[in-house]
Amino acid sequence: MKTQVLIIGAGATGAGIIRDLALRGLQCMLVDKKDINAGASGGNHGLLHSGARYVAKDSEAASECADEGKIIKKIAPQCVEATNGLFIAIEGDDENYIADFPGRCNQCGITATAIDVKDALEMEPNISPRTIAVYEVPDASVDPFMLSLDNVSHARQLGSSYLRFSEVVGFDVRNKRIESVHMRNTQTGEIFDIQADWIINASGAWAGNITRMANIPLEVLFSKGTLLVTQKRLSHRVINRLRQAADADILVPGGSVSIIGTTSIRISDPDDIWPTVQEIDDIVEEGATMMPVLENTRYIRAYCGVRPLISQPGASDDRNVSRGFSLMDHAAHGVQNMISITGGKLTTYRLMAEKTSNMLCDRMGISVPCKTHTTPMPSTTDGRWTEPGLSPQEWMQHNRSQDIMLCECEMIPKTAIDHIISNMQSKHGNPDLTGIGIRSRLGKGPCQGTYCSARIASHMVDRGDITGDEAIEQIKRFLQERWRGQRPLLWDSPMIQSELQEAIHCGFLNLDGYVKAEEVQS
Amino acid sequence: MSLTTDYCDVLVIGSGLAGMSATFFSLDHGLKTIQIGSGSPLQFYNGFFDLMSTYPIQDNKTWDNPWDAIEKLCQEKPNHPYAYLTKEQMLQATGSWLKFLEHLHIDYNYIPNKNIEAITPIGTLKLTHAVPKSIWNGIHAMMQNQESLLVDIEDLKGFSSRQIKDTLQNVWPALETSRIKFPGTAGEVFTNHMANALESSSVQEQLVELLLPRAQQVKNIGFPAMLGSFYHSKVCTNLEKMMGKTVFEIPTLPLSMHGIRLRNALTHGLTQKGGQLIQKTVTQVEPDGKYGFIVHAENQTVFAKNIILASGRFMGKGLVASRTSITEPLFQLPIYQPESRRKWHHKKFFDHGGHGIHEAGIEVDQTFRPVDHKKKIVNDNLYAIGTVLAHNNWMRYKCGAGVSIGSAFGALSHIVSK
Repeated sequence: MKTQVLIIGAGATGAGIIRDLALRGLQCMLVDKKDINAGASGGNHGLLHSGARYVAKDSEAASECADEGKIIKKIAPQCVEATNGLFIAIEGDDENYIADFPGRCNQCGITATAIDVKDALEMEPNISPRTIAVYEVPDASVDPFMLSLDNVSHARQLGSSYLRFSEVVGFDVRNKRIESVHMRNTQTGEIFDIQADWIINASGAWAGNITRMANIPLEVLFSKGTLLVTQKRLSHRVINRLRQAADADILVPGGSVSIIGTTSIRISDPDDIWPTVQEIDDIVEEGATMMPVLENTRYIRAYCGVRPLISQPGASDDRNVSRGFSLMDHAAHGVQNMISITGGKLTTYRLMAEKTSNMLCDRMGISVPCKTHTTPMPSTTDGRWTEPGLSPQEWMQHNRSQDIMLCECEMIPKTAIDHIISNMQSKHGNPDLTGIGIRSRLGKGPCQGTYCSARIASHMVDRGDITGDEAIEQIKRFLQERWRGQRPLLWDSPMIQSELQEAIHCGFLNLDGYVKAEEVQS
Repeated sequence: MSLTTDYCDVLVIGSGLAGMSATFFSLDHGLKTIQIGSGSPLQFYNGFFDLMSTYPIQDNKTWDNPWDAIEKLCQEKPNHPYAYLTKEQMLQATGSWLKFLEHLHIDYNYIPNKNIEAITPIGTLKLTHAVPKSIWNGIHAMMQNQESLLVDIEDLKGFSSRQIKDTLQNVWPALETSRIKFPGTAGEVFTNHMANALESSSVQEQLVELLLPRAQQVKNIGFPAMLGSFYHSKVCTNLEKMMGKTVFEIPTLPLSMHGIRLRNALTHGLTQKGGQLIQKTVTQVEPDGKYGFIVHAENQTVFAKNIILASGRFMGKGLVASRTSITEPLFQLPIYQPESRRKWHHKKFFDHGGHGIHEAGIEVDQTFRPVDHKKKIVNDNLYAIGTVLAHNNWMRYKCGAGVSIGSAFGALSHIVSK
C-alpha cells in the first residue's frame, strides 16, 4: 500500500489531521490498532470547554478553548449540544477563587454571567442546596465519537482512507527516512507494509511506543482518568465545581445521560486500564457534594482514558504554541519524515490538527492554508447513531412498526444495524459487534449488551457476515469490553442486571465453559 | 380493601424453582402450605434440569456423570448446599419432582447417571442432566446426525437457524434450515404469541401446509420454543401426526416458553394439590410466640409455623447489594460475603474461576436453617433454600435445578421430622 501521508492513531487528533490535510489536497491514510477513539478521545467527558476551568492556572489554554469552542460549534453543530455550563461553589469552597473567577474569565475572553443562587436552583434543581455562588459560561457537550467519525468520513469523501485494526509493528529506516511501515492486522494477524512519504504519529498515550520503533526516545507518562455514566440526564447544563480543578468536579449532560468525573492516577501501562471500585466510590462521594443526587442515582457504566504526559526535555519547542500539547519534528532525532503530536484536549483537537498539518506542509514545502476553521463538517450517517436518545426519535418519527428493535434499551432497529454494517463493510472491512458498538448506542443501555449482543450476533450470522464461531468470540469480546465499565459499579439494580447477564451467558449459553473445537483437539 | 388472614404449617416465600418444589414437597407431606411470591421468576428458566456439570470450575473440568461431580464437590467443598444432602435424598427429590411434572404433562427425559449436551439458541452446547421431551428430541437427532430441518421465523429476533446450523456444523452436518412467515402475523413476532396461536388446530394446519413441502427428506423438524403453551404436549402430538415427523424445540433467550409452561403447569398443579399460591410481595415478618411467625403481604396476613425462604439472589431480591455490603432484606439474616466490593467481581467476566460474589448468600446448617457467624441457628422454624444459599455458585457449576430441588427436599425432611 502507498500513501502520501500515513497518520497513526484514529483518535480526535488523527481524525482532525486527516480531514485537515485532505482539505489541503493531500492524500492520506489513517490507521489504528483498534478503532475510532479507542484511547483518550473516547475516554473523556465529551465536554467542549468554554475555557473557564483553566482561567486560574493556564490563561493561554483558557483562551484557546474559548476560541476553539466557538469554531467547533460553528463548523460541526451536529456534534455539539450547546448546553451552557454553570460553575457552582459550595459552602466551604475557597472564597478568593470565587471572587477572582469572573475577572479572570473576562481576561480570557470568556463570558461569565453571575446567577442568583435561588435562580440557579430553579434552573438546575439537582445542584446542592449548599451552593453559595453560581456563574454561567458557554460550555457545551460534544459527542466525541460522532466528531471523529464525521472527520474521518469527510476525509474519505475527499479521497483519503482509514484502516481499522491495523497496528504498526515496525519501521524500515534507511538514510534517516522511514521507507516503509510494517503493519499487522490485529484481527487476522495478516502482515503488510505501507509506503508513505510522511508519517504523523498521533497515537496519544502510545506515542512513545511508536517512536521507539524508529529509535526515537520519547518518554510518555500516563495519567488515568475515570468517569461514570448515569442512567438519566441529571442536568440541562454542564455543572462545574467553582474551585481549583480537582477530581469529580465536572458533570456533563449528553443526550439522555450525564457523565461525572474525573480522577487522575499515574499508571504504567496504557493498555491495561480499569476503572476501580475505589475510584468509583471517590467520584460518587466527591460528586455528591456538588450534586447530592449522585449519591443515589443509577449508574450505567464507568470508563477511563489515559492522558499522555510528555516528559522529554525540548519537546516543547518554539513552534509549540500551547503548553497543552507537544508537537515534535523528529528530524532533530535523526528521522526526516516523521512528526509526533500528543497531549492536548478534545476541545482543541482542531487546533492541534492545524498546527501539525502546518508543520508538515512547511516540511513538504507546500503552502496551502488550513480550511478547517471555516469549512463546515458534513454530518454523515456514520456518526448519527452514536447520540443517546436519537434512535428512538428517528424510529418514532418514521413509525416503522415493521422494523424490529434489535436493541430495546436504546431502541436500535434492525434497519439501523443493517445500515451500520453495510457502512462498515464498504469502508473499513469486516463488521464486528464492538465496531457496531462504537458506531451506535448498542450495549450502552441498562441491559449493557445482555440481550442485544446475542441478538445482533445472530443477525450477523444470519446475514452471512460472520460465522457461528466468530459470533461466539464477538459476543465474548463485546461483553468483556462492557464488563470493564460495569464491574466497579455493581450495586442496586446494576447488580441485578449483571446477574441476569451471567445467568444467560454462562448459566444458559455456557460461554464461560465454551471451548472452540480446534482448541479441544490441540 | 379487606384484610385476609390465613394459617399454615409451611409458608414458602418465593415462586422460582426452589419455592415451587418446596411447596410441592410440603403438600406431598400433607402439610398445610401457602406460597407467597411476586413476579414470575420461572419465565427466565430455560427448562434445562442441571444437576452438576463443571468442577473445579478453575480448570473448566466437565463431567459425564453428574453424581461423580457432586461427590467430588462435596469432598472438597463441604459448605456447598449439596454437602448437606445424601445421594439417596437427591435421587428421591429429583425422582418425585420429575414424576410430578410428568403428571402435569411436562415430560422430562434423561439418561441415568449421565449429563447430556443440550443445544442453546446460539448453537453452543451446554451440559445438563434432564430436559423436556421437546428439547430431548433435538438432542437425540443431533447425536445420531439425523436429517433434520430447523425452522426459524421471519421477524423473530434472537433466533437464527442458520446460526445454529453453522455453529453445529461439525456435530450435526445433516441439519438443514428454513425460514417461514408465521401465519397471520405482520411485523415483529414473539414466541409466546405464536405459542398461544398454535393451540388452535387451524393454525397448526396452516403451519403444516407451509412446512411439508420444505421437509420432504427429513425425519425431524425443529423450532424455537413456541409449540404451544398450556397444551404444549398436545400441540406437539398433533403436529407430529399431521407431518409424520418428530418435532423438537430449541429454547430461546428468556423469556422462554419452557419456563412459562412450567410456571403455568405448576401454578395449576400445586393449587389442585391443595396449595394456596399468592402473587404478592412479603413486606414484613414478625415473630409470634404461639404460632411461629406473622407474615404480612400487602393486605394479607399469614400465621405460619415454619417459613421456607426461597427468595433467590439479586434478581429475586432475596439479596440486595448496596455500595458497601450485601444484605437479606426480609429477616436481616447474616450474609456470608467477600470482605469488600473490590472482591465481588473478577476483571474477566468469563473467567473460569467465576466471581467472588457467587460465594455470597445465607449460610445454613445440615437442616437448611440459617446460622449466624458462630454457626448458631437463627430461628428453629426458619429455613433457607435455593440460590439464596451461600457457596452454591449455580451459574458456573451448572447446578441450579439440583440445588433448588435438593435443598427444598432437605428442608421439608427436617420439618416433618420435628
